[in-house]
Amino acid sequence: MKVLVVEDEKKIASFVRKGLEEQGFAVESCARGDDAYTMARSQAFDIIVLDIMLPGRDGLSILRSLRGQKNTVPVILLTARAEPNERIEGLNLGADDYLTKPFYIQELIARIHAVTRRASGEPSSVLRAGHLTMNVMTRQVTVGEKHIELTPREFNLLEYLMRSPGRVLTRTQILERVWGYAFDPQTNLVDVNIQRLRKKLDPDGKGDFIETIRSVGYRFLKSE
Amino acid sequence: MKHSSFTLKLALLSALGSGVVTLAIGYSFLSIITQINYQRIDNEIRRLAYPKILRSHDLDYWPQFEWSLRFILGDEEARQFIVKVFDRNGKVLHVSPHRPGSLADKLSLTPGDSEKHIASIQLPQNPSLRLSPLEPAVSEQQPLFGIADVNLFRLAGLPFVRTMRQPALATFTTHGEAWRVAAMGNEQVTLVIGWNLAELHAELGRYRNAFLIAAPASLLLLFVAGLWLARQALRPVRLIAQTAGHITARNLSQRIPDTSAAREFQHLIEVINGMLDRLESSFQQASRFSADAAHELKTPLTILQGQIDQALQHAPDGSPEQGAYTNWLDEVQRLKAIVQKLLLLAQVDAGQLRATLTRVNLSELVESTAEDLRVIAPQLVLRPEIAPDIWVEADADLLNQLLCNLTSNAVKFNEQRGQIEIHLSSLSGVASLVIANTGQTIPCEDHDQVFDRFYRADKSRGRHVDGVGLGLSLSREIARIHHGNLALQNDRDGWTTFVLTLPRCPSGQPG
Repeated sequence: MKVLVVEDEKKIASFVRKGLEEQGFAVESCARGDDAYTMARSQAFDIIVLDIMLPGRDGLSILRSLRGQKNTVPVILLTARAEPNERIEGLNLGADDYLTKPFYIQELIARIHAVTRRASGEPSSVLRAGHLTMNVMTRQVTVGEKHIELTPREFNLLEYLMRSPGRVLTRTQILERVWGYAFDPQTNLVDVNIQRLRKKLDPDGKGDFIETIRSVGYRFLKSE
Repeated sequence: MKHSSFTLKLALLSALGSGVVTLAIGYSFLSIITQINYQRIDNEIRRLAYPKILRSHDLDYWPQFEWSLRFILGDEEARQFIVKVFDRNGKVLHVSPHRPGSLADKLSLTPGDSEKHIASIQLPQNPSLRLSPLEPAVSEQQPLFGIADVNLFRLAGLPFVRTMRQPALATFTTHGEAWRVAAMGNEQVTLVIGWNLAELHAELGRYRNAFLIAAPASLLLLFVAGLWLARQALRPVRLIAQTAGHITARNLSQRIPDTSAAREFQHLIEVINGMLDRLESSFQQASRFSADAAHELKTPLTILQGQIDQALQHAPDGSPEQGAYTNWLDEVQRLKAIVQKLLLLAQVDAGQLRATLTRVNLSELVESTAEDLRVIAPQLVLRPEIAPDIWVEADADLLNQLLCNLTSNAVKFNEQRGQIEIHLSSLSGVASLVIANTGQTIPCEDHDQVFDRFYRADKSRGRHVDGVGLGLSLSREIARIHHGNLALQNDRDGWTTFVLTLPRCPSGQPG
């Protein structure tokens, strides 16, 4: 899959590029708005990751021009501002998603997957890992044939883990994503909920989906 | 009333000012009129009588003199004076036949009067006896009380030897009537003319009465007029205040229109508008600054987090680097939370906190929060009562922070084996969430300050519990931008109860 990353901060562009390349994406990056616009028009990308604040030409204006020319390439906006207006404007202009800085690379990868799947018509609402299936729309989780009852927190936790298979997730990272900023990072919320999830998904303790990394966090097993 | 009304003050001051001026004018008018009249009488007497005394006359000249006086002055005036003439030995040569009333008899000028009678008049001691200030009393070494001296000399049986060329003039009151008396004499006779001042005083009294009635009436009129004028004059100020009152942080672009105001107020309006210009631009700068600061801070945080995360993914499991990277990421996380909080505070201060509204299942959110509470604080007894399927229009992040703040307070300020109650219900379109905890309650006198930015009930409470939670002031701010409210209730002993109300939206998934 070919991705265009438009980001003027070289270091951000660099870790995004590395992270995406590790996941098997082909990445082109570009630091200037006007160059990015030329590239987006001349080459075919599967998705564009577009920073809003750019030298030359800002991200929203590029998006507006692309959509004006009936270019439907999926776009994920990156923004450092928490201005709701900017987000809403971006979505109204035809952005497929947005991500607020600072973000984790797996969050971006998860969203790229979701957006491209949606763009290609593939139902993005079902996540799979081995015999574990999660339907994000109907909020149903099954292991094999067995239906699993999860609380909303457990569901969100499992969804997050399943969207980042093979990556190390620290406790605070999980806490931020599933519970929000305001929680005390010292709590045992993550551990307790992981234990419950494990018990529900795998009551016999045969094949665990979630790997514990001592004093770091957890990793969802990558399915082959 | 703490502040006295400026309008009232202005009216009172103007009435007071005009009152003083009116009084002064009235007083000087009356005294000038009095003096003019006295002078007129004095001049008249002097003009008519003095030339007569300069020459010697026959003894029977004096009735003729009085008759000529009456002829000159006319009947009206004639009734007002009496004439008395006596020789050097005090013998009366002539007394006016037409003495008005009983007065002339009581004048001590009659030689036959008894000493007792004379004493009763007590001319020198009579306080109303005054010599005209306009005239030197008596010529030569004569003491001031010339008239009295005349009487006293006579009463003492001494020959009246003093010759008075210039008339001695005095005013005195006897038996309720005032008299202007002129005494003058030559070697032969002493002539005393008494001029009744009753008429004059009556006239002056009429003036005074007219003034006493007119002055308060006009002052009242002036006060009312002053009130009206002040009110009229202050109307532009009221309009300016009204307009300025509507200007808040959210609509700083408003200005006071300066169309119909007078020149004096034009300046005030310009000054206020200028101030608003500066205020608006500094507000804009502040909000731009917070946006810029957020951007500036978030970029390095993104890089830091991205690079550490990348390193973490490649560190071998259980290696010391992996532990270190995890710690670093935790610190980055803390910085992110601080930046987030600062940004929120800056937005609230600039009146620019805005919510991205989506439909949120409040029941589910509260359920999850209760579930988390059981994990965080297993030592507390939790009693949730959560009505299902209550949806609200809200910013999920902000609402989550608000709930988190309320529940963490309920844990923080609870007692060892305390209780927490969480009730979510809905009544006529309003979702109401009650979160109550046991433990030390907030003192009643602090209830109003609980929602202040820097309030903390007990300052000795540990800092670590504060964490990244938002204060109650921000929680209430969040409730309000959702058109709801957050309030502290004090209806149960030993319980601290917070009530969050939010407008509810119709149940069910968005269609």
